[in-house]
This record gives sequence, structure tokens and C-alpha cells, in this order.
Amino acid sequence: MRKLIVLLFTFSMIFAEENLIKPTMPNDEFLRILSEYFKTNGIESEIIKLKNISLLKVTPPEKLGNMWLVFSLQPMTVFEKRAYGFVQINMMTGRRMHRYKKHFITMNEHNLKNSEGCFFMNEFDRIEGNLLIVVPPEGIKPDIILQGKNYLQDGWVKLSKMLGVDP
Amino acid sequence: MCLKLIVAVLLISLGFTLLNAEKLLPGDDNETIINKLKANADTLKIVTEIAKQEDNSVLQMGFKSNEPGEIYKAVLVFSSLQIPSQNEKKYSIVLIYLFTNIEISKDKSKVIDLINQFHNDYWSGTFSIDEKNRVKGKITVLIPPEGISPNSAFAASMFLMQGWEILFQNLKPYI
Repeated sequence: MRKLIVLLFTFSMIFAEENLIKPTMPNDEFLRILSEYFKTNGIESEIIKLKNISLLKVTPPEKLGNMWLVFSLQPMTVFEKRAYGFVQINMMTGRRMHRYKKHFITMNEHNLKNSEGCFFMNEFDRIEGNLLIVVPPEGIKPDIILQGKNYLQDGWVKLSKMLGVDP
Repeated sequence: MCLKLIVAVLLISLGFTLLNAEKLLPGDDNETIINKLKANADTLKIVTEIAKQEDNSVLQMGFKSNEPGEIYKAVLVFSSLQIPSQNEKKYSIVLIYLFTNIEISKDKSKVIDLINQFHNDYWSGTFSIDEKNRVKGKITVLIPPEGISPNSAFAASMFLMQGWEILFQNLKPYI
């Protein structure tokens, strides 16, 4: 009997939905879970407010240039009567570029041929990147967001090479 | 007692195996992903077909908006690829492309400008102009080590279509 209890306890620990990111959870709760996850992985982060939305800000290693990333959770769509959300990873680079046609063409080419995020120039002539991670109704573990962050950073390294600039 | 325990464990593992059988897993090759998506689409009564593109299998799905006019018509194409990981876990992505028959015939650089503006204002897919001056959309779904339901890919494709409907309104004068 004791063995059965131990076994069931082990099963419940393995399949516990602890720290899962769910599509309908409040953004603030998502930021708290992600911030704790980053902390356990040695990544410093801070919660900031931008246009009335709370975001989690992370500054990646210096080799990627003057740049920071923000994370937020938003609703996406309802499919088969179940709500889906997405985590948006937004990369704000310090790279200011002229609004030359050739730069837009290079970004278009990158977005066409690569899957590591979507890049564009914002209203301050700075290059931004975006990556979406779908959050299904059953939720996702935070490690997928860390993976997405690294994937988007790879995209920025690739694009800066195409533009012929240092990140 | 011991026998009951063994049966219970076997039933639980069988349950998880069946649950994983339909999930998209990062270790699945492209062929397996496409077959799982196709099976799921059939269950949901979504009309799709498997086709070949550059020797790779892809899943094609037609789309027609509720809006009047045929101009919205687009084809969604699903495929997958493995992505590099910085830890020992495996990850992959489902790539969903949206092919339109819309050719930009007027001012291409203005259209690229408008697409850039769209990416600034919304996030529901990545759009670009291909070598044939056609508008192409794309969205990716990351597959975590524990897998993901095929429905996630279909939900993402719906989101991509919503993005296209918004962008299309801005591109109308340049078609």
C-alpha cells in the first residue's frame, strides 16, 4: 500500500501542471512565472510598463549589441471552441537605420527566406524583431519561451549580417 | 495487489502513448508531421490534401474569406523543420505559408513600406513579397519537447488569415 502511495505521488509530481503558461491567464501572472523561470536560469529581468501594458524586459549579452527584449501574453483566436493565446517576444534593437529602399528590401528578403522571427523598422527608424509562440489550451512550459528568445536572437544576427552592420 | 498495480501502470502508460500518438513531437520527421496534421484535419472535416514541393511533403488547405469577392482566396501550406537548440532537448517548428495569387503590379517599394508598417502595428504573421512580386505570408509554431496538439497549427493558420485580411485592405490600391 505504501509503495502504491509513493508511486501515485511520483506520478502526480511528474504530471503536475506547475508553472504552466495557459492562454487565458492574466498577463501579470504570466510575467511572474516567466521572471521566476528566467531567474532560475541565471537571466535577469524586470517588469516594465509600456503604453499601459506590463512587459518583462531582458537585456541579452553585449555581443548582440545595444538591444533588449520584451515578453507579453495575448489572446490569439478561438479554434474548435477552445481559446488559444500567444506569447509575443519583441526585440528592440538600438540599431538605427536610414529609411533607404535597400534596407527595406533586405528585411523583406530576410522575412521571406528565414523563420527566425519577423523584422521591421519602427517609427523611430530602429529595427525591431518579433516572434510569436502559440499557447495551446493545455498550456506550455516556460522553457519553450527561452528557446524562442534564442531563436529570435539568431534571426537578428543573421539579419545584421545581411544588412552589413554590427548587431 | 501487485498485479493490480502493474495493470494500473500499464493502462496509464498506454493512455499516454495514445495521447502522444496524435501529438506533433519535435522528433517527428516532416512526413510524420504532415500525416498527423492530415489525420487531424480529416477528423475536423477540414478539406486538405498532401502534395509535394521540392521533394518535401506539404499539406495544402484552401481558404476563402466570408468577405465578398474571390480576391481573398489563398492557399495555406504546412511543413516542418528541426531547429538548433542550446540544450540537449529537441525542438522543431511547423511552418505555415500563405500563398496568394496577388501580384503587386504598381509600386513595389511602397508595398514593402506598407508591409513594414503592418508588422509595426500588428502581430499576426510575417508578410513579404517574393521573387515573382507575389504577397506571401508565414507563421511558425514551435513544437516543445513534450509535443503539441495539431489543432495549435490550425489555430495559428486562422490567425495568419486574420492578419492577411487586415493587410489586404491596405494593399488593394497597388494590386
